[in-house]
Amino acid sequence: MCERQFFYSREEEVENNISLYAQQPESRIYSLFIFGGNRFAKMIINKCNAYGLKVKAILDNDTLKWGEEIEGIMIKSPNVLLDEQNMTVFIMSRFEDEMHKQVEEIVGDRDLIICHLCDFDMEYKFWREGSFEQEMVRLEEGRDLYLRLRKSYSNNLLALIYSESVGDNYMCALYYQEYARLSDNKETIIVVPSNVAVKVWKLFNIGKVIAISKIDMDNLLKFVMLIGEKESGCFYMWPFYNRQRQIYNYTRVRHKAFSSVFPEYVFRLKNYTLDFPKLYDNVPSETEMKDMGIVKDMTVVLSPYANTLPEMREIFWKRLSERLKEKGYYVVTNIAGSQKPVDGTRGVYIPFESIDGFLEYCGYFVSIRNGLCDIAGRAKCKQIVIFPPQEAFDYDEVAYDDLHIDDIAPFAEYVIHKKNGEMDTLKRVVELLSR
Amino acid sequence: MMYTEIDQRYKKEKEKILIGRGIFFETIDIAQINVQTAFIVFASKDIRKAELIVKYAERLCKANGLKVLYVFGLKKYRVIFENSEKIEFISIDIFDHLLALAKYLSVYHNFSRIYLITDNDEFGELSKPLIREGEMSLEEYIRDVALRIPEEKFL
Repeated sequence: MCERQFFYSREEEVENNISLYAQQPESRIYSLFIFGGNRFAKMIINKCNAYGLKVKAILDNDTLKWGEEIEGIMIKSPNVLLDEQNMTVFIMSRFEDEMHKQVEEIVGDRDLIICHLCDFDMEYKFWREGSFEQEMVRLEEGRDLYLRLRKSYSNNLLALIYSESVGDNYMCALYYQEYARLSDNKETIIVVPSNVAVKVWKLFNIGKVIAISKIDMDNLLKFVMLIGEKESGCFYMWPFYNRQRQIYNYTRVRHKAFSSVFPEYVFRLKNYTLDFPKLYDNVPSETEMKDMGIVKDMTVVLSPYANTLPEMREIFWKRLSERLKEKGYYVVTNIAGSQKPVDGTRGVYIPFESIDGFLEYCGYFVSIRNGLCDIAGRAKCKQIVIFPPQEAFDYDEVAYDDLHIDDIAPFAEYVIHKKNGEMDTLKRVVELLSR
Repeated sequence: MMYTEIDQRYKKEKEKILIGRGIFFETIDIAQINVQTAFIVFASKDIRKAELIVKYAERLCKANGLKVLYVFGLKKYRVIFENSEKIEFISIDIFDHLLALAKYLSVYHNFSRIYLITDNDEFGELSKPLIREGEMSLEEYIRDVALRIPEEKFL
């Protein structure tokens, strides 16, 4: 008996869909396009060739890609569909819904087949493939950990989050705070899979927070999933497996952002107000600020590091800091642990609990989209958040739109970085700061 | 729950996984499982859900390029599911065994072509809150959320 035969790859799924299309009579008459000059295009073209399908062009909204070729097929504007009568568009991207809509709008009433080549909804990363025996051992380990926790906290609700990221934990803590208030649940133990997550939860003064390893968290969740959330006295603060899939499907069909649905279907919150922590503890004195090279209302704090999402190149930050200095700003880099400051700037460590006070003193904050943007979102200073290119999200579980943090960071202005567009991004950031 | 109760429950649930796994391997020839195979575990007593699955079975297969759509369900629902040429119905005698199968597939396996149709939220079922809140009808729920079937014109 071998469960491994159960698993198939995305590539097999894509091949299956292409072979299916190749069997349709339309495949011999319709012009074929691939939407997305992304990393999958090459694989799709090769598979199309294997099934005798000729790709006419690759479509992409990024003007910088137009004219480039992948496997000899040219990348063009989606508007080329205006010249076609009968066409098929293959889509394989995290933004398949948006692409789908765009294609429909361009094509109108003409004959069109849209084929989604694979399902992006699944959380492939969380569950690791292994033999049945290994999985049972993991369950045992989850049970042992659960019982150890229960020995210390016999009657408390155990609230579990499998994400280690700062942003996810901050969002969960915001909603959990309200959930706990409404359910009168004061004796909760929050269990998180990283030390940095503990720091985030401490900002809220909700309950005791315990850090365990990521592997332990996986095992614990497996065990709790087996026993049952209610039966084990636990609460999952992030949906997974069937519920996650159902929430994603629901958001897509109703065109809602995941972040807007999440409070309701995970925390059972319908009408709520978020109570943001005020982060003014242990802000350095004026003299200490001076020693760090910080001048009040004249200093830009750069935050170039991100754990989940892609970062910008080092050279971008170096050029940005030079440009800002030319404009008369002082520039420092927010760093933690072994992170290095941007060349030519001084590194400062800003504890979460002092971030509002610190940034308000400096006056300016420029960050790649990362978890710190969530925590710093209420600081009353000029905030610029740089979003990495959309292509970067192809394999990510978080929809691009969900990264907008309007509620959490009302002062932030966004700059969408385009691939190969560093100079434009830099110009835009400086322009917004000077406004 | 006390530790002893938890441990008892753990033993029971673990047994369920083993039962579920046993049922699965007894009824399915795993050599035949591939990307063109999907499974629905119908662990529900809501007959309307069964009828809706049958209604949308063909579209589900077409949308995902499926050759075989296995449905595990109680014997009494055979008559409903056998209305569909697309479905291969596997009759399970005991409702708890069906839940055991759902448990095995949900705890051990996570791939996109296992659909769990249940009545409770042990398996993450969202039908009740969505329907209760008037967000969608049962039909919309089965079509758009549980099975995620694209609109006919795109098939």
